[in-house]
Amino acid sequence: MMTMPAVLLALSLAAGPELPTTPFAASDGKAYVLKDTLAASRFTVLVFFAHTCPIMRAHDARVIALAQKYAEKGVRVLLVDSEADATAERAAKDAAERHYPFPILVDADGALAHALGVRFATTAVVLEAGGKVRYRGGIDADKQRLRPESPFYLADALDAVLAGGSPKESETKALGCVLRFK
Amino acid sequence: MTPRPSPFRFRELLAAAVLLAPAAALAQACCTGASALAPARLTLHEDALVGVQLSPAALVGSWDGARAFVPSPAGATELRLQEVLVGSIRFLSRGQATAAVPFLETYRRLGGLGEFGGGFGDVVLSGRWDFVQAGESARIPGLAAVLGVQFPTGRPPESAHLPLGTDTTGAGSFQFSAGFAVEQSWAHWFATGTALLTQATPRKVGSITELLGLQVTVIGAAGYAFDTEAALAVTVAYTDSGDAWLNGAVAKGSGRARTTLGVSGALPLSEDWRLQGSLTTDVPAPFLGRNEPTNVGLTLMIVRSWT
Repeated sequence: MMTMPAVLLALSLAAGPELPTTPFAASDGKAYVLKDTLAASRFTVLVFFAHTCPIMRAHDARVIALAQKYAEKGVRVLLVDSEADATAERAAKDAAERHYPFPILVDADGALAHALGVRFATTAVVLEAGGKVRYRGGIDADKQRLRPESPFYLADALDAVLAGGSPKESETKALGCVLRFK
Repeated sequence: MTPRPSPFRFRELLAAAVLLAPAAALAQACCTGASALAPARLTLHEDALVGVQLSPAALVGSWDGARAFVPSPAGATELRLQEVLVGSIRFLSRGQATAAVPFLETYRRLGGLGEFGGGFGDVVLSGRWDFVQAGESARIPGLAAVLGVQFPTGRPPESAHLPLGTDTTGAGSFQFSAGFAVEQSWAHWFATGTALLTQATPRKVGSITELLGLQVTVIGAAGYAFDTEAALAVTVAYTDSGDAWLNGAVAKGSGRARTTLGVSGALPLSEDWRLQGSLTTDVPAPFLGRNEPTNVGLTLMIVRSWT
C-alpha cells in the first residue's frame, strides 16, 4: 500500500523531478552536471550505491553486465553514492577495487537521492534524456542470492523504454541497504 | 514471597523479542533491527512472516524477597518447553503488527512428586512503528514506538488443576505495554535499546482483588552482522515491577525483578527462510533479581518470510 507521501512523490517523479543542478564529483575525477550527462544518452540508469552494502556487492556483476549490454543501445549506467560519508577518494577506490566500468557520482548531501525519492541502495532509476523518470525500483527481485529465474526488473524496464513503450512495472521494490544520509 | 510458577509471561516475550530480533539481514545499515516488542520482527524489506519458536528452559533457582539468590533445592526439578506460533505483517511501510500464540509444557518434580502439565498460554498482540529507520541518518538513531497487549487466554495459577501447578499457562489478566526503541548501525555493528512500561489489569482470585505493580523493562543489545547476513548479538534485559496491591492495600515486599543475559544468532537459510536462536540465562547472582525464578534457556526459531 502506498502512503500519501509516496503517492505525491510518484506523481512528482512522473511529471519530472527537480534534479540538482550543481556538478557532482565522481570516482573518475571528472565533474558531472546531471542535465548535460542525461542529455548525452538516450537513457541514463542511476544505481544508488552503498559502500558496505552486501546486497550492492552481490549485484556488482549483474550491473556491470547490464551496463555493457545496453551501452550500444544508448543507455549509460552511473552509480551514485548518496551516503553521508561519501567522498570522491572513496568512490575512486571502490570503483577500482570493484572493477566498475562506470563512474560513481558523489552525492554526499543526498540531494539526488532525495529528489528521486530513493532510500535504499541498489535502487535503480531510469531517466530520459530530458530528466523524466521512466522506472524506479530494484535491479531485480533478489537480495544476496541471485536467482537466474528472478525477474530482472531493470532490464525489462530498459527493454520496454528502448522499444518506445513503458515498463510493465514502473515502480518496484529495491531490496538493498538503507542509505545513511546526513 | 515465594516465586510463582513460571507460566508464559509477557516479559519473556519481550526478552525473546530482542534476542530473536531479526539479526538476519542486519548486515550494514541494510536491515538493522534488534529490539522489538514482537518476537518476530520483520526485517527491512519483509512484508510478512510466520515462525515457530521452540524454547526449552530449566529452573536453576530463584531470587528471594531480599534479592538473595537461592539455588533450587536438591531433588527439585523444573523443565519447561514453550512453543510459540508467531506471525507478523507490515502496514503503511513503517508499521508492523505481530501476533504470538504460545503453548507450554512443564515438568516439575518436588519432594518426590513429579508432574507434567501444559496448555495454551497467553496470546500477545503487538505493534511497532519506526519513525526513523536505523541507519538512515548518520546523526539520528532509529526510533520506534512499541505497543503490546497480552490477553489472559492461558490458565492462571488459581485455575490450575494439578497439585504442582504445571498446567498453569497464563498470568490471569490483561497486560498492556508501551515503550520505545532506539537503534543504530555502524557498518557491520549494531546496537539497540528498548524501554517499556507494562501494566496489568486487576484480577479477582477468590475474595482477593490483585493488581500487579507497574513493570519497567530495559533491554540493550549489541552485535555484529556478517556479509552473509548471519549475525551474532549479546543482550541484557532487566525488569523491575513495583509491589502488588491486594484488595487495595500494598503487599509490601511483593515487587519483582529479574536480570537476563543472552547470546543470540541468526542464520539465513535462503532468501525466504532463516533460523534464529539464543541462549539465555537469568543471572544467578544476588541483587540482580527479586521474587523471581531463575532459568537457563535455549530458543530456536524457524522463520518463513515474504518480501
